[in-house]
Amino acid sequence: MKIATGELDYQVLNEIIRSSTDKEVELDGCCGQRYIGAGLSGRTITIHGTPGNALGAYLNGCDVVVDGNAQDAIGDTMNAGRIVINGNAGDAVGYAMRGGKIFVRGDAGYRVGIHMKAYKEHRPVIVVGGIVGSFLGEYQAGGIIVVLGDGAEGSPVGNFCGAVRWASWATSAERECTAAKCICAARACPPSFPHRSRRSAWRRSLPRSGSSSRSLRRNSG
Amino acid sequence: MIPFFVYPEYEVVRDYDRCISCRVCERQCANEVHAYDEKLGKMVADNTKCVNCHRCVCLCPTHALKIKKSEDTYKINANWDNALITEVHRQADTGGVLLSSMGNPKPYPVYWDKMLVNASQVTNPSIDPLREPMETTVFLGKKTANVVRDANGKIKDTMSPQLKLKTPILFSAMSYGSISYNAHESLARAAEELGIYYNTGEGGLHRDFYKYGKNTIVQVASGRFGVHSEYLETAAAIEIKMGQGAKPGIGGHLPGAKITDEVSNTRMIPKGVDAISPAPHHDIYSIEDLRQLIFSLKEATAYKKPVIVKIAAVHNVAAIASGIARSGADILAIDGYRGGTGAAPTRIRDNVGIPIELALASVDQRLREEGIRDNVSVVAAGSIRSSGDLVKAIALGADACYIGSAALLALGCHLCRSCHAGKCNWGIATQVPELVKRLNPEIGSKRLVNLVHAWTHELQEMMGGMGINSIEALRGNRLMLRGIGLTEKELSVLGIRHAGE
Repeated sequence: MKIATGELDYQVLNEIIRSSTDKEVELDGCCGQRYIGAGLSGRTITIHGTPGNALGAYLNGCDVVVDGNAQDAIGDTMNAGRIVINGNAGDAVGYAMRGGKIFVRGDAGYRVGIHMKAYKEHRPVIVVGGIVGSFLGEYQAGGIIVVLGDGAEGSPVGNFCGAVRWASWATSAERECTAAKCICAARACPPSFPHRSRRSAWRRSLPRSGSSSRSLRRNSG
Repeated sequence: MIPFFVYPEYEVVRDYDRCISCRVCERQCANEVHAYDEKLGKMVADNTKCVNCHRCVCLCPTHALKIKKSEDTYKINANWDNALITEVHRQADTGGVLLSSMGNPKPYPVYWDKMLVNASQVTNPSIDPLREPMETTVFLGKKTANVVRDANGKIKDTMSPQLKLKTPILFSAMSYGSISYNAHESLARAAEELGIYYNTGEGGLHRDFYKYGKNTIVQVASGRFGVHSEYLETAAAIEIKMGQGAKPGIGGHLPGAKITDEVSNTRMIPKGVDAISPAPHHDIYSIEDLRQLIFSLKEATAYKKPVIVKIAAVHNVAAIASGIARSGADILAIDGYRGGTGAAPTRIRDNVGIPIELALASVDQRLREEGIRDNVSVVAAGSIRSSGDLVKAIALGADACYIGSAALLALGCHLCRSCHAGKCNWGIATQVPELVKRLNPEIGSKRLVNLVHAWTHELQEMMGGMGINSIEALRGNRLMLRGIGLTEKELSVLGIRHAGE
């Protein structure tokens, strides 16, 4: 099912999605509608445009792909499924996430993966391609958070981050999957990276700690 | 430095003429107070371990035991009482934060006891509830004020989802983890039989209790323990816990030792690892953010369930309530500073928050003044000790009341306030299997049903006396209350007149 989202009220839009039996849902021209996919399972939701806050809250096994940016509280208390953001994401990505995977190609805001927890077969994963703000993985009690730090001009994370382990390259993430870990790598930004120029206010406010090469050396391993 | 010996606060007194050394007390006491001394050939007691839970007193077959307050005292001092001196010593020993359980026991004024209820004489005759119908059913939820018609002029059903209660009582949020499986089963079965609701607290909903879903309120707290779509779907209503009366501004911390297999499965967290509920929700920094969480829950459950927001009664409670009433919440629960807890820092429990009576009155008044009282139902909590408190709470503006401590008392609790130790001899606030099985859910639920039936009868009697035949007519009816021994200011906050006026 394809929905021309436009300026539809979020309650109307979400009711259409909920009551539809289509496994595949495609939203065109999404414009800030909140709570898309909340609590749903067994669907594939493709979003063109920008979804609003709380995308995929309590998600229980959907595949959600956004071709642009997304806003705050993506995958709040998510249980299973996959959310892919091809742009940047706002604050509190994957709050109290218990399972499933969230991939953000660009940057993400403050409090990413806060209160993330693992449980039995549930092992939540967040991968952020760019950089993140402060309080990454605070209260983390399981699961894995990887910050690739693409284009970081210093630390790829802000202050007060959880059990951060610095890695020179993110693939070491695979070895660390059994424990609650945040793994961050700072490396040079490939010139083709599409969202590098979109620098939000919170990112500008991040503390700078010298040149990127120096911080990489200090933080590696 | 020599260690301080703190003389026990309570002493076990044994009548050796009655004691038959049957050792029941020894077997019943998880604190290991009682023991049989082979040399002396009699039972002895270690008073230092006694928490005064009265388990041994109740079960002694010859009634040979009683517990007495110790007469040992430091030099009498009206400023530095014994408890304060002992606590300073303990903290100097350990450097730790003092922990306590259940509600604030300090001698602050109890406003329920300073209000009196009206009765009819001669005119507006009283009603006999035994011969006339007396409506105690209440509906909790947003009451739509606007009438909307469709194209044919028919009235559209725009009613928000409501909780129907046969009597204006709900069982407060108490998590599985803080209380036992059998305690939860007792509450769930009683709620079903009574046509009311119990509340899971923030500890998730045990698989076995999904069948009580239509009488279950599930809680979503900052830790989001056990929250998933099926949990939300199963419930009759969803409660967002912003605060708790016993510990406003404080989160929860269930020690790993209490996280057994079953608790771990229910909370969906690893076994043996401390479960921390942060003090704030880290995604809520404003009423708008709260609204976002409310609507994400409504979206996840297709707008079929009312959402409750529970807050602790604090200084600006009326303004906070006004925000919540505009946030999309259906029900507002306010928990006063005497509300119970499974564990809280003593200083927080004893010093933070305000009485529910004053909070309730000011919230009801504020919401009425702003014309938004019908946006939410108001549930009062925080030590509703009897049907007398219940009647007064409704007359001050509550739609219904949560009872927690009273419900636990019905299950056998003797208010020893040692829940945080996890060795509850009554099988309530413990996860030790041998202790849990002491509470029989069959009997427990029956006792809860008895309690709520008794209170409902008393409520009907008092309403009948006032010439009122429905809760609707009592709610916010402050003319039915008079203050006794209160100052002008207290009367004005409560919105009632003094007795004799």
